[in-house]
Amino acid sequence: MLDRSKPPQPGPITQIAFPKFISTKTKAGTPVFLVENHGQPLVSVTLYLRGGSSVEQAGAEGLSSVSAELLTKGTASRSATEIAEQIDFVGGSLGANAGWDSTTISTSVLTRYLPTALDLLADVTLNPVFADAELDRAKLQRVASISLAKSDPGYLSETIFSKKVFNGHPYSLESNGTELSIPALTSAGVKLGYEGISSPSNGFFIVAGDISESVLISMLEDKFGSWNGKTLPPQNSAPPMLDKQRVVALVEKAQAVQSAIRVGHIGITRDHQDYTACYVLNMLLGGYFNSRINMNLREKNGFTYGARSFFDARKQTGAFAVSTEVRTEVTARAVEEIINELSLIRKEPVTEDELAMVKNYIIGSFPLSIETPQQVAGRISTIALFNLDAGYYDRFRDKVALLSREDLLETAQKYIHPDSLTIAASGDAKVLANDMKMFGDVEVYNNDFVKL
Amino acid sequence: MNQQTGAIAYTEYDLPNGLHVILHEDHKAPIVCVNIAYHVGSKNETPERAGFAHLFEHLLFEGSTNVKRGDFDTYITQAGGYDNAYTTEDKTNYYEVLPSHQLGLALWLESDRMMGFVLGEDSLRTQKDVVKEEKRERYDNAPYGTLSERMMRMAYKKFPYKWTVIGDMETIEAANLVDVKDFYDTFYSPSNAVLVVSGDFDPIQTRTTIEQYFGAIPSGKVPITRPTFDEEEQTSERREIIDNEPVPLPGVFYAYQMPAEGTDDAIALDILTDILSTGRSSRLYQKLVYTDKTASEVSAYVDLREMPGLLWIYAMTNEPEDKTDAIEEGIESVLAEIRAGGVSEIELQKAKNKTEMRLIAGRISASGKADQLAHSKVFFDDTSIANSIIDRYLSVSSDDIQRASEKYLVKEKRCAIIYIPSEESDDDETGE
Repeated sequence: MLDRSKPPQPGPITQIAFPKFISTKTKAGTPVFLVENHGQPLVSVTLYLRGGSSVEQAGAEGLSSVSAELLTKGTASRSATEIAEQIDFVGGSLGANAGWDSTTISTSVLTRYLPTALDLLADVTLNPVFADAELDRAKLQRVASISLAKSDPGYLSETIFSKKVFNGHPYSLESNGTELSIPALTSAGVKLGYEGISSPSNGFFIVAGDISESVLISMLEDKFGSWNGKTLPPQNSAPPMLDKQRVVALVEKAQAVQSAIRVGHIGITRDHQDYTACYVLNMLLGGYFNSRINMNLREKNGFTYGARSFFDARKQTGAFAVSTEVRTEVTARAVEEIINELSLIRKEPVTEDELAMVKNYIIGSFPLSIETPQQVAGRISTIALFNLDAGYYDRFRDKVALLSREDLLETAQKYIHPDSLTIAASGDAKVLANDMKMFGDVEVYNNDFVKL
Repeated sequence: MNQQTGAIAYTEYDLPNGLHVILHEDHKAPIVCVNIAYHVGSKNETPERAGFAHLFEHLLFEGSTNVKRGDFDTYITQAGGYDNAYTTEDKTNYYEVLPSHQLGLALWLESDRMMGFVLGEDSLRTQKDVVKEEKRERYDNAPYGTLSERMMRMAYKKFPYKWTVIGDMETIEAANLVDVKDFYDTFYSPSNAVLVVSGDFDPIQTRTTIEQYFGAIPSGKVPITRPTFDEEEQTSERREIIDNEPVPLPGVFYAYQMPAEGTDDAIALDILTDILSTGRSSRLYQKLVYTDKTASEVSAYVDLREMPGLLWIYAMTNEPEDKTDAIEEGIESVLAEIRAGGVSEIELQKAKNKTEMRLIAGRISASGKADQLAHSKVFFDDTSIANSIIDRYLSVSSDDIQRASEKYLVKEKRCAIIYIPSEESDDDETGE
């Protein structure tokens, strides 16, 4: 007889290992990682080049990102329109993007059109021309997109948060550029920027989908064989230190009915030995729906549609941040609740139940995060980009399972600092400036990030 | 669609209470997705309760006979899964993705809330606040955030597509426990639902479990009256200029009323929007952004609905002080060319390749496949359309596109909303 009052017993678990992937190299020495999977007739190929927006200087913000954008806007043998027509015709995608620590050039296409897509991928990687006319177009569109971004409350609070937390480091800059820096870019400058990262010794390929190793390698040798190898200088800046004092930074947003809040401080790098402990701690604190911060701000108080926290761990340093959008009049109360949660997690060990819950969630949901070949490829790119151990994801669940309440308390005390918070918000600055005084000295900025 | 392009194999049947069940097995990963679509959306609301279907979606996570408030998400995350839901004008969809050995849990949870939903005043209060914050975040505090509300009011004069899914602050606030009970009794019955299980499971055992959990739920007693499409044909352009909101750039937003999803003309127009704006070789991009440089971005897409929906075209200028006339002329000249001469074979092939790519990319995960199956059953009462639709896309001709454009993409049938940055907003000043 069916007992509806209780959940059913789960069936037998299917143990699932992190999928095997192929790790090889081209003749020029570029590592190639392949997740072979013939489930759907699709292939995606991504070339990662080390170095992204984090190599920029103030005044040239957006250089890496515009440089990446121009890769697909003309080569020695193809105009921008020809490139677009060829990739669009096969229904594929081709794009290049600068991240903080890497620039990616990628394509995704039906298997039968892979030769066309790889030919284009190699051409834009090896022979971009950075034509003036294309740069001018890119500038015009970029400045427009910056003015769109500056009316987005989330962008405003995130940007001021980064400026304060990463104080002086390239991570504090606006990676898409500013209305002043973009017009000043030159084609010689963006070309030089790209040449500084483009080398077979400075990147790796991540491939996922419907292709075998032998076919892939012969195609890559054929298309990328002429890529010349030069050694590039290392790219590192001194990471900023944790601020000792609380900072309250507000950005004025016209006719705001909500405040976008970002609260946090300097965090850790992705390859840090305590990253997994921070990840688990954060999941419990604000990383998933059942987390303390979301339950408090959304389910208990109805302040917000959602609240979350994260360790944004990058190559050179990182940030810990809590992020939420709340209506103007409860902004200070929401920040108070966030600070309470950050203080509490340092003061008392989490409960056995909470720890068990978060472990069940992270370990149990691991198979879901490796369902598709593209997801697996994403994980492998993390390993490669941050030089993690090749078996990192084989051991990840065991590492999570071993963490104790004491470990998490120690982690919280080491990496969560309620007294050193940067409290950033965009919204109705007149109301907020007064309400937020309780947290420290208030600085108010306009949406060009100029102090008022 | 043939095996090579990844057709979704499935079996389907009805329980005696009217619940339609669709099973799709795929053992590539130890993952299973449970997806329930209820055939109810914002078009089933009264104007006094605009936004209720979506609010109700939030409420349904608040508890049922055997699941206490807050426990739904806890059960799912504890099992290593995730759950979510979404509401459109026409349907409300709930889904859970779990490691396959936890399938029973999702079936228990979904059957419990289909059988006996329980709601207290405090839950209703909290979820009203959460939904209002969702509205503030997505619409009221976002640039151009009033667009959808304005456009629906302009495009639909009678039919209940004239309000948005999110609704209004007042109508959200007006919801009470009597509304909740009536709505639940009317729309959340097995005969108004489709259950899909997709992924790694044992079909025989799963049939038994479904029968155990869902079989005892009584069929709906309250008859559902569905709105009939009664809009009168638009005969002259409708137009509004908004100049008192803090938007960063002037923007042109057009919506043309188009036929319902699944009709031949809707398929032709869907293909056309790819030709118009997908990729940098597309017509609108080439003309407005690349050649004329009158727009910083342009996009065209179909907002497909169960009843006649809208084809949208929008574009933004480059700078705050730019006029929008050149954009409007550019869009009209591109559409005029298509109305007069159709599209080229190369453009057609390109759009078809894109469509094929998109449909296949939607089928990589168990949840993507479940959604496509549930959607076809709810909208067309025919699950097989999830697989056959691609052939209809692949057979569209230039004549089909030309005919549909002449019929629908004309100025008299257009709704236009033009945003111009407000004077008092200093958002648009470049940084000095």
